[in-house]
Amino acid sequence: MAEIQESGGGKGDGKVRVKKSSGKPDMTPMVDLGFLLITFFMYTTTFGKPNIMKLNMPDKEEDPEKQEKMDLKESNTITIIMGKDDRIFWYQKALTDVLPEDLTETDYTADGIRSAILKRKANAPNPENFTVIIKPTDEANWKNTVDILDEMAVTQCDKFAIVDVQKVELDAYTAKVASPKPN
Amino acid sequence: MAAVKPKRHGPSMDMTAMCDVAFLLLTFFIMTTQFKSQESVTIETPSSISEELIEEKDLGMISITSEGTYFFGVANPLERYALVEALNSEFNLGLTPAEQAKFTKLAEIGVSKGGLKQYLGLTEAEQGKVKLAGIPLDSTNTELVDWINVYVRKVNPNAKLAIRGDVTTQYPSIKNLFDELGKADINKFKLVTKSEN
Repeated sequence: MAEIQESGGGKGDGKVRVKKSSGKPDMTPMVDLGFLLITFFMYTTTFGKPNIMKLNMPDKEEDPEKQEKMDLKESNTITIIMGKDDRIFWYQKALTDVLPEDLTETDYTADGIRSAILKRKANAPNPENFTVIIKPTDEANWKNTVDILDEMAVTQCDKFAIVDVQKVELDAYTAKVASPKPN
Repeated sequence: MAAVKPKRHGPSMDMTAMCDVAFLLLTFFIMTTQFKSQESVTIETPSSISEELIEEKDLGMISITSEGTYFFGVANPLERYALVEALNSEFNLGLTPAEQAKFTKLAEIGVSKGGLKQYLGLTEAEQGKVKLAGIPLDSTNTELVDWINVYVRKVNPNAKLAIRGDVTTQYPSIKNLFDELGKADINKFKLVTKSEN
């Protein structure tokens, strides 16, 4: 509160009075200004940076026959099929003769797909090469994909592949998904 | 014997300490702040257990809405100048400097290169009303890949690509993106998620 002191107007009694200041400036407006700016910056700032997870897709192999060369033992893999309405199935069988009965329905919880993966992994003849084959159908959504990739991190399966669904599996899946989800 | 007089306090109190705190906080916020860019779409990302935080520089972001339309943007506003210049010369868009400046304010772009000039000519309020069709990406028109190629190969060779999908984005549009980018020899991605808790 800076005030201009006017010296008592003329030489009335011959004494010039100087108002004694206490030596402390009034900080209130400065505090007001400070908090105003804080409010502004708090509103404009972006907190809570999103997280990221890494995903490396395999190189496109021009020759499809080459891809099939890497033949994996069935007992060393698990194939996961993600369907509509957050439904999920897995099987452990040769791709060519998958029947609807082979698909086991489970869910995205820790007791569901996670324990299924861990159990297969424990029983695998060659656990360090245990491979998870992820096959999202066209009815799966992004959340399902991220959830499954999460499970890969949780179960420490670093060998996994996201592959397109084959005709045989799609038939089995369509037949299986037609029946309602068992409770 | 004199009566004990209670010490009188004035009505004003000492504001110095409070002022110190206020300005300390202010300094913190000024230093940490990053201004929000105008976002064209709202995307609800799925949650994951990943604890790695996103890096704001050298990052191109492909956003996929729940309807499966593609958006492309660059996280670091400083890189957007270089991007818009490269796009302008590469595709002969004929953007004026004012339109280029507008481009740098947008977090992501959701129009094809043909419609970009018109879109940047709109005011902010009008831009919000436009229904964005996204950047085309299908078997006949792989424009999104062209954009990404301009960014990754011309603007910033160190750039990484992040994919920001909505919870309800259907898988075919994701697969389409992976397939088309795989053809362009881009196989490494970072998936944007939010933390679980």
